[in-house]
Amino acid sequence: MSEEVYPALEIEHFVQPDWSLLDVVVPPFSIEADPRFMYLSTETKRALSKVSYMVEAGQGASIVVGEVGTGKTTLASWFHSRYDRRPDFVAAKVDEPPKRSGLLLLRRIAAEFGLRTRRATEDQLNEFRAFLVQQSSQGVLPLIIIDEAHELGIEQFVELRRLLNFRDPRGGKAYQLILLGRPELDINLREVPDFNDRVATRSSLDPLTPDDTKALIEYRLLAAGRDGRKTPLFNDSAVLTIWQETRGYPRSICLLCLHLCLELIVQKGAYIDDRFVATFLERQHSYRQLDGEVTE
Amino acid sequence: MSSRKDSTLAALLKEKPKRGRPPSAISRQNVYVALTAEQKEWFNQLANDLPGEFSRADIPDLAVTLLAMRLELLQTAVSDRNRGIPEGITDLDSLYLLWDLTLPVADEENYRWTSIRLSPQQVIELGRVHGILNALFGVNRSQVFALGLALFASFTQQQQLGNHTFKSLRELRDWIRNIYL
Repeated sequence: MSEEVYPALEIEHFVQPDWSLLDVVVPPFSIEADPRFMYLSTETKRALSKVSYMVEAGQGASIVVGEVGTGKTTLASWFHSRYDRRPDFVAAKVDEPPKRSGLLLLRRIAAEFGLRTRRATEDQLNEFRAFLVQQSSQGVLPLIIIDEAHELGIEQFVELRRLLNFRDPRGGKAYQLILLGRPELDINLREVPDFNDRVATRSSLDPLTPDDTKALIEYRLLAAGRDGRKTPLFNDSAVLTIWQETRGYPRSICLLCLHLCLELIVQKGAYIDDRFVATFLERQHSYRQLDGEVTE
Repeated sequence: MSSRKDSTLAALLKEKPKRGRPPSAISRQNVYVALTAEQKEWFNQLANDLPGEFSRADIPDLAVTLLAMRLELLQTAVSDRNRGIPEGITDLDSLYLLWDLTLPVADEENYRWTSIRLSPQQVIELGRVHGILNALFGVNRSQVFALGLALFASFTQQQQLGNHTFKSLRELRDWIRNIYL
């Protein structure tokens, strides 16, 4: 009997890169926000320690700002995955808040907590109040994480402030809130001083330094299964070129490294140096345009 | 007529200032830690920032007291949770970042063993803090003391310690305690 090769499988085999050539088990670079691959740069660590302290101490609202591609969504996913699996926390994550309407935002958060959604703002707030009392009685603290929070409108900040005002009648802690957004978030907050006063901590995520860039690349390769004792896949000169090209934005670094790895697999090369990176960047004009769209 | 010299025993019994060790109500104990030359230099700088009643020898006691209080405050914040320390504090560096301190530069070759003198209570406190942080992050006593020293350096600057007057070390410790606890 002749061996039958299905066309679909053949195409898939052709398209799927052979990551084992790089001695990794899974693709090391991706622009998806995956907390498993989160590299803790100094700025990320600072944000993590300050925000998590405020959340667990029940201090109210925490803000994290950063430009596009600095790792805010990864950080939001990290907070959600870590706190939601703990028995003393229940976490709701809103990836992108609905436009302007305060009620719509409350309904979205309610849906994330698994609460009934109501048509009137007061009814919805009552649902939240009852939920807080019920959770507090079990020693559970509700945490709300809002990504892309620079898109929040004034009306929505007002509703969030009302949520923060709720207290467990026995004097317990209130809802905890983490807002992550672009630097415009800080500007928008100036228009809502009532809410701004309740912000317990502010952190910012800046682009990475060359040392952090190297550490990020090495960390992701290690997390993908590459033996750390082997010769580095990216040598120092390549890392410097990557840092200059990407200006230290983590998402751009991951995107460029992904393309470089794919190119290396095609060429069946052993390592990536600055010449390899420069040649790739010269040949792949479309890459720069794509990168511009991502980072700008 | 020549004056009569004291006997050897009388000379030994005579009260003389002890070199390098200012008088302390309770005798202090030696604790050995590895510090860099830069960290040792901090002692001299911090001694200038202390109120007049205190000297360089009091710095280790104060650094340990301050660190123990800050850690207690951190643990109090999560006292009703199921963790001893907040989720996002993943290593010793996270504590430096949480408390807005400059991160230490790892310089293994420049560490030198040195003895610091601590009051008995502070020896216990350093041991307790070391135990907690060692269990969490696997850090050694020297790293823990260096964190306390960095914390105290930051504290003296923030609080303008040199502008205050305290009657005793105990009063200064109480003042620090009132700020944080």
